[in-house]
This record gives sequence, C-alpha cells and structure tokens, in this order.
Amino acid sequence: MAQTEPKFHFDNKRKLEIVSKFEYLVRQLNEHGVDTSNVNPE
Amino acid sequence: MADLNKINEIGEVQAQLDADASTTETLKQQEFTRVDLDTHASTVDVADQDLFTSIAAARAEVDLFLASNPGEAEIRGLINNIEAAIGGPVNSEEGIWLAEQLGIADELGLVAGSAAEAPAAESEISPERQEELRAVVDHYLEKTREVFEAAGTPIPQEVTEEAMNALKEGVENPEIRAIIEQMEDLQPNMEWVESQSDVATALMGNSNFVRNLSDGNLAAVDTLLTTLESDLEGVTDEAERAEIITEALATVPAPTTPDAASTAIENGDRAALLNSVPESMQTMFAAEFEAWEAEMLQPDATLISFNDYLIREAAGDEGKLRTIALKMQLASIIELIKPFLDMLKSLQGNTDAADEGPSDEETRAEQERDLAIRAADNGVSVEVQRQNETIAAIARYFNAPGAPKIAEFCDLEASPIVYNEAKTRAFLARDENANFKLEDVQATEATIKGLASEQMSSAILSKGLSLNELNAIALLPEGAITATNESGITIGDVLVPYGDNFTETLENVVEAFNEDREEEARQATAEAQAEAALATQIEAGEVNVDGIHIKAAAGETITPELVAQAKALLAQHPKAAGVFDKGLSVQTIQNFVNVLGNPQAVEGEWIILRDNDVYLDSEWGDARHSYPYGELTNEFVNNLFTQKLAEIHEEIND
Repeated sequence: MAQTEPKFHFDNKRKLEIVSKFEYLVRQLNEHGVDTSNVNPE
Repeated sequence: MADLNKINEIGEVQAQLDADASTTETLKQQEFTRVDLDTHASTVDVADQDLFTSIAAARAEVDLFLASNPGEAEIRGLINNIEAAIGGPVNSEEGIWLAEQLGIADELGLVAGSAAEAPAAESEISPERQEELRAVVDHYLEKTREVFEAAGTPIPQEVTEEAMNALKEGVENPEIRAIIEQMEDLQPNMEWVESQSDVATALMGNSNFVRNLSDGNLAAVDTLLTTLESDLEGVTDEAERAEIITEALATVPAPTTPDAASTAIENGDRAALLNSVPESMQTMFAAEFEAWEAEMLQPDATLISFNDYLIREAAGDEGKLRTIALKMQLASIIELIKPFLDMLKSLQGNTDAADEGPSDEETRAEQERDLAIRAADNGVSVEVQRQNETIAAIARYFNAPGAPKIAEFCDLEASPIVYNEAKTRAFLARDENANFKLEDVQATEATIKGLASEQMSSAILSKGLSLNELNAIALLPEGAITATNESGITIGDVLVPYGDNFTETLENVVEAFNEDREEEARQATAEAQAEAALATQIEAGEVNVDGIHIKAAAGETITPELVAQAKALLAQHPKAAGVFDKGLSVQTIQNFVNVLGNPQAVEGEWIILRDNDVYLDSEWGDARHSYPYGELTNEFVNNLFTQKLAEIHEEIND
C-alpha cells in the first residue's frame, strides 16, 4: 500500500508553539475583550 | 468553501456571515464538529502530551469565547488571533491545522490542501487596501528614521529603504500582508504612547514591559496598551492616572524568557544587557549605555544608575521620552518583520540591504580590535588595558578641575580602593538595589579606620580589596584586628590570608572569635553573679554554695576566704562533703579545714574520710575512732574530734 502524503508539513514543536500562542491570545481576548476601535462598520 | 480573504476585510465579514446561514450563528451554537483528539492523533502525528494539553486548553478558551455570544468584530478578533499565532493568513497550512484542532475548520471553510489554492486569492485584496498597507510601511520607515536620527544612533540595518520597498512589493502575498497588518495594529499604540508622557515613563520603568518587548511578546504589550488607552480616556487627574497606570502595569504578564535584560539594566551591566536583548535592540541600548556612561564621567555629573538614567530620560525630556519609547516599539517591529525581510531577500536575491553599514557585531568587533591594538602597544593584556582605560576615565573624572567633593573621598593616591574595577562599576551603577552606593563606600572606609590603628587600616585599604571584602572587614567587632601584614589580617591570633576565600575565611574566623569572646563574657558574668550571691549569703550569716554549707554561730562572721578554702579541700577530697554539707559553724569548719589542710595528718592517715564516717587512726594508741558524718555537730567536732586529733598529734610528737 502506498504511503499517504502527510497532511501537514510542520513538526510537533511548531504545532505546540502555534497552539500555545493562540491559547494565550484567546485567553487575553476572553479576559479583555476584542479591541473594536479599529473596526470600520462601513 | 468560504472565501477567507473576504473575511479578512472587515467590511465584508457581515455579508459573508449573513449570506451563509451565518458562520457566527453556527459558532455561537457550537454546532461544529470537532475531530476527537484520540482518533485524530494518528492522522496529525500528535505525539506528545504537551501538545494534547495545549490543544485542550486552547479549545477550552474557544468554548469560553463562543459562550460569550460573540459578534462579528469578536469573530474577526478570533481569526486575527489565529493569524497572529501562526504569523500568516488563516488559510495557510498552519492556519488550517489549527482550525481543525479547534473544531472550527469547516465553519471557516478550511480544508487541507486549500492553502495551495491561496495564491489565486491574492489578487482579491483591493488596490485601495494595498495602498493603505504600503502607507503603513512608509510611515514605519519615516518614523524609524526620525527617531533614530534624532537620537543620533544608527538606524537598524533591517530598516533600509530597499528592505521596506521589498516589503511593500510583497503586499499581495498573504504572509507579508499579515505582517504589515500587525505593523498597522501596532501603529496606533506607538502614536498613543508617544503622546502620553506619564504612560511612557511608567512603561520605561516597568521591567516586565521592557522584558516583554525584548521577548517579542507583542500580544502582551498590545493588550496592555489597549487597556491603558481605554482606561485613561478622559482621565486628567494626575493621581488618578497614576493609579490606573500602576494597576495596569501590575497585570503585565511575566515574559517567557529569563529577566536577564532587566537585571542587566538594574546592574548597569553593558555586556550582559547587550547579550540579553534582540540584535535589533542592541544598538539602541548600547547608545543609551554609552550616553549614560559619558554623562557619569562628566565632572559635574550627578551619579545615577543606568536604570534611573533611562527612567529620567523618559520622564525629564519629552523628546527623549518619545525617542526611547518609540525606539523600543520600533525595535519590536523589527523583530516582527525580520524573518520576512530575510525571506524576501532570499527570494529576490536582494542582499544589498543587509550589506549596508557595519552591524552591531561588526562595530563591537572593531572596538575590540582597537582595544587589542592599544593593549599590544602598551605591552599588557586586553583585560588589563580595558581596566586601565576604565580607571583612566574615572581618574579623569575625579581629577578634573572643580570636581565635586566626592574627589576628597576618592583621592586616587590615598584610597586605592577606587582602582578596583568591581568597585568602580558598582560606584558608577549606584543603583538603589545594588550592594554599593557612594555612601556605603564612605561608611565602609570610615568604619575600617575606626576598627584598627591608622597604620593597620591604611594597610588594609591599600591592598586593592573588593568592596565585598572591605565590607566583611568593616563588620568585624572592635578589637578583633590585632595585626596586619602583606599577606593578610590577623583576627585574635589567627591570620586570615588575602585571596580567593578571604571573605569566607574571615567570616569563619570572626565567628570563632566571637564565640570565644562570648564564652569569656559568660564566664565573667557567672563569676560576678556567684560573688554577689555569696556576699548576700555571708551578710545573712549562712552560706550554702557548691556543697559548702556554713552557719555562722553568734558572734561569728563567715569569710569568703574560708568558703574558698573549703571549696578547694572539697575538690581534693570529695568525701569531705560528709563534713562540709552539715551546716556547721565557722569555728568548726575552720577546725576541719585546719586538719584536712594539714598534709601530715592526711598523708599519715591520722584522719581518713570514708564513705559514711570520719575515721581517726593511730598506730600508737588505742584509737580506732569512727565518727559517722550524720552525728557530726559543732560540739562534737570542736570538743571531741578536734581534741582527739590533738591527742593523736601529741602522741606522734612524743
């Protein structure tokens, strides 16, 4: 059976880095709310 | 598949969400299908527990976020966070992976392989938006030049016009665009900080903020500034503003790297500081450090620490305040864009930008080479040359005409301690938290002069000891220093040699010295107390100390000498306790002392102290007399016992 091409091409270290940073950012978002001052409703 | 490039345009988010049965509503209701972590592990090659834990934590935060009934702006904030976490667009390979882990890939229209299709979407960024983003880059370049030129320090090599142009040309590339958008996000912060002198001052004095910047933790910095801007809006009362700023700064998260930078700032340690900050910040800090050092060496300088210098610069000069605050912000952006500039240079073969002007490293290397040449010219090692130049700079300061009174203390010939490099650095630092301040040094010198003779203190102060060592000497008790010579100082009768373990050895010797003195003091106190107690008992007519019990009869006076004699005899003849502890009169005890103190009587065994009695013997008479201790009375001893002894004595003499 032919080997399947890996779905993603970055290692666990990078994955951990991404998830950790994202988790921190969302926690900040949850704690402080999103900064909407730059959002232009137009 | 939803068009994520449209989502990136805030104005189009609404239409997108409305048209597609609302992604927002879907997310709000949490009707997304997450891939089970356990079954998904094999497909994503998730191997370690840390990653599982982190994904679970991230999901929990997303759950919390969705539970807060987010609006479009909040959803956009979430997407921004994905992009910030991966440093690129959400429809990149990494973005898709993260969205899958979070269980929101379907809702965002993300499927594996879609990243490859992304280039097709590049053209969808509007020309207007492209111009806006290019303006951000121009503004950044302009601001960087303005700030660094005003400060008289070189512009970081990364921020060249060519590099900025390359960045602008890449605006259609989603990854480059994401970076410029982050720069755009930081821009209001920079301008706001520039306009708030008290905030900038506080930021400069907050080590966590500085450390976050040097750690590249822009999210934490951004959160802080956003919160502060909101909280301070409309607040003009200085005290109230100060309180808000203090509270906000207390929430600044500790950075993820060791606090080497702030420690180095506090210690005024240039080498450690430059080693602990990103390369792009080294030029700025090196320049600040040199400016501080140069100022400190001015004849009329008020000596302050490097840390205090930075804060003063921020607080006292609005222009410099802006410069420093902006430089730090700009430096943080350099960190942000550097990998992309490198990538661009690699793609375009444009290496010219990196070659312009010497790097910080090259500058330092050149300085080191010059130092080495001067060292070789003088026939000394580089370290000795460096130390000599430091000393020379300090000497110039102290010897300059009109130098402050500090020169009296730091008379270079009379107080060679100033030559010690460690002391010199500590002296220059003079940090509130540092071990040594000028006052400390003066106090140490004065203390040592008070502890020892002029000759000995001069010998100690001229040895070139470090201030740590001098402070250890200054802590010696009075009278501890009994001699000094070339090799060390003598504490009591122990020589403590100068050298690597001087301070530690000194502490041990002093401890022993103090213990001896304490023991002597305890003994003297005990003796004095015993004498006082004896005097009181003598005064009362009855002494009962240390096994000697004497009751003065009418007209008798107990003397300390009799007590001492009795104690001495008791020590020689423990069984005499049977006599001495009976509370006999002065005369009786004196008689007994006379007998027991007569070597002839004892050595001739006329009197034998046995366990239960006094045994009087005579080989000439019929004497075999036993006098039980319990029956001894004054009358008996004086009238019979003594008489009998006299008879025996008489017989012998006959």
